[in-house]
Amino acid sequence: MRDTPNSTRRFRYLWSGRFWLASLMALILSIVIMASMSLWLPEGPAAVDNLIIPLVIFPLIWALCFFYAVMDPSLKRATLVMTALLIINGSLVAASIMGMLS
Amino acid sequence: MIRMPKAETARMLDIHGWSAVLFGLALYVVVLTGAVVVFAHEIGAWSVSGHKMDGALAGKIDQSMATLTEQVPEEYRHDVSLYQNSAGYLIAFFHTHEKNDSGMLADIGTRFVLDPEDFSIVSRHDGFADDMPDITSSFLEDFFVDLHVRLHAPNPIGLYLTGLLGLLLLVSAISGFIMHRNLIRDLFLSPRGANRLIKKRDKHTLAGTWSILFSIIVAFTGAFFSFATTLGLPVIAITAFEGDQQAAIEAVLGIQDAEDPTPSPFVGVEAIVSRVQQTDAAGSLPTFISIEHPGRVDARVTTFHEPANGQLFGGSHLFNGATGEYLGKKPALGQQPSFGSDLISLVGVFHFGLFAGMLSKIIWLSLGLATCYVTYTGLKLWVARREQQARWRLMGRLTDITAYGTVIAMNGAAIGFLATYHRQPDVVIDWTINGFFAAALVSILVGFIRPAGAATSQILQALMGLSLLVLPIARLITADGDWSVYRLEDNAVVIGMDISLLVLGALFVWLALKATSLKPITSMQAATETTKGATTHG
Repeated sequence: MRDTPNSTRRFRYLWSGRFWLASLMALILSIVIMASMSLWLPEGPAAVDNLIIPLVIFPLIWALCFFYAVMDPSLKRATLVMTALLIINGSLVAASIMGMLS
Repeated sequence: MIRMPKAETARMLDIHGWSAVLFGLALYVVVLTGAVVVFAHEIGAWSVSGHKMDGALAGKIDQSMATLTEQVPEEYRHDVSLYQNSAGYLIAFFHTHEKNDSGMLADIGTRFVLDPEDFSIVSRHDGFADDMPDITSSFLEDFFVDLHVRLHAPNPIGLYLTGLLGLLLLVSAISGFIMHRNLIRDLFLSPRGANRLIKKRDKHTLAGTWSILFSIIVAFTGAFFSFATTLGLPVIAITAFEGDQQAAIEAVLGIQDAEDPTPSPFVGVEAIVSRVQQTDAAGSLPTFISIEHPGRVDARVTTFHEPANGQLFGGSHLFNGATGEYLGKKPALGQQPSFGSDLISLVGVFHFGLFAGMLSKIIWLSLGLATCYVTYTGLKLWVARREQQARWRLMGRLTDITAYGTVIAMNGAAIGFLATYHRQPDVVIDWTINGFFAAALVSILVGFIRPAGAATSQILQALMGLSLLVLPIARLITADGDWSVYRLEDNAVVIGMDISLLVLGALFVWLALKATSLKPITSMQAATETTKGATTHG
């Protein structure tokens, strides 16, 4: 993956790793984090906190993922961090869907 | 300003600019309609020249409800929703839940619209709630709300669209905040009169600074409202409820009691409404009543209330529908008070600007319009810097057409509604929609036929002002009654709206006329002035 800020190609952003990290990856990661939060957040007295809090803060999670992808000077580090978060949270979600957590 | 390396600052600037250029016009429509529908109920009451009798839910309603129940198929008597719309009509929706054609659980039943004075039936419709025709008395209000919520696109596409625009506003506002050099100083920036373009950019900065926090709040909460049911809940249902969305909804809403279909007479709405108005319960008239399983021993009635004086949140109260026993205050979500329930109430309060009554609604309207102004001037400044290229001149035209045309089209819809509501109620919906598109077409034609430039903007601005002036006149001509009647009938909102529209209309016409008397700015001047401005301001 390469950053190509000086490229003169039309739609050059489509060839930029950071573009895909900040768009598709940030969206997928934020959805997966929201899903996994419902599994590890405390339920609270009404047993709804773990369901409501991820729903409410989803736009904030997405914004954090997006701005991290945009602002980290090292594209390689940003890719590694976001991929690691995706694997950890995704594994949790997959385990729950397969009934391994019940 | 957060200090960043040059490359990151440039990237942030790119994101801030291009996100606005690519999606700014759609965002403008959503923010403008959002600012307007802060006063949705007032618009609803104004559009029918004042709501009919207030407080219909406190009337002698039980006999009418019993009669209606007999007219409804047995399977639709499972639940009943009862409320008064902003025009004053009482809506009673007897319903149950069935899977629709898409395989999703949806409300299906019989909807009555009742006259609040004698509870006579104004209209009746059967079927899925989503397939029923709109209620004409609240159609203008609903039309504007729907434009804001989903741009009139079918669900869930419309909600995804507005959700994405919400995220985009979040990006624009946060990137603006990060790059802002003098946030506090710019709150008191005095637009410099050196030349028109620098003055315009200073105004852009001033409005942007004041509305930046508001933009972040409404973008965040708006994106939540769009994505909560279309994306969030299905994802959480898959993760935590093995894909069972109904189970997820029941867990969130806190449905707990085991069903008991043993027949038992329903205690009646009158007894519940009377009890809930006592000070140890809500102490106020409900705005919405939900009855589950009427006529059964497990009947439950929930009443919903606006926030009391000094309270941030409205409340809901639960009753036993078989005995009338008051079961206590019910949290918005779940069976017990919780952080999650308060959080979701807070999201609603801040998105709709309900935290300080009428004052906060006026502030929210003003900041919403300021955000529109920021979007408009930002796009115009962007275009002015690139005016030598034809595609950017086209963008300039589209910006003017959208900025003024959206208001003109909304006013066209209102004129269509007013022209038919009292005289030809059968065609209200068609005329409202046609009015919207006809007015939009006029704006597009004016915007494209005229040469691009300041003069076209001023013509569109004058048209917008004129369309605002026409509204109260059209309402006065088509409706019975005058201002003294509205004042006596506790419909001062109609007078307030009339005066506001007249003042706003006159103001925009005057601004347009004033602008035409000034020397028009040329493209080259604009480019030169912007370059100068960039060196002196930045």
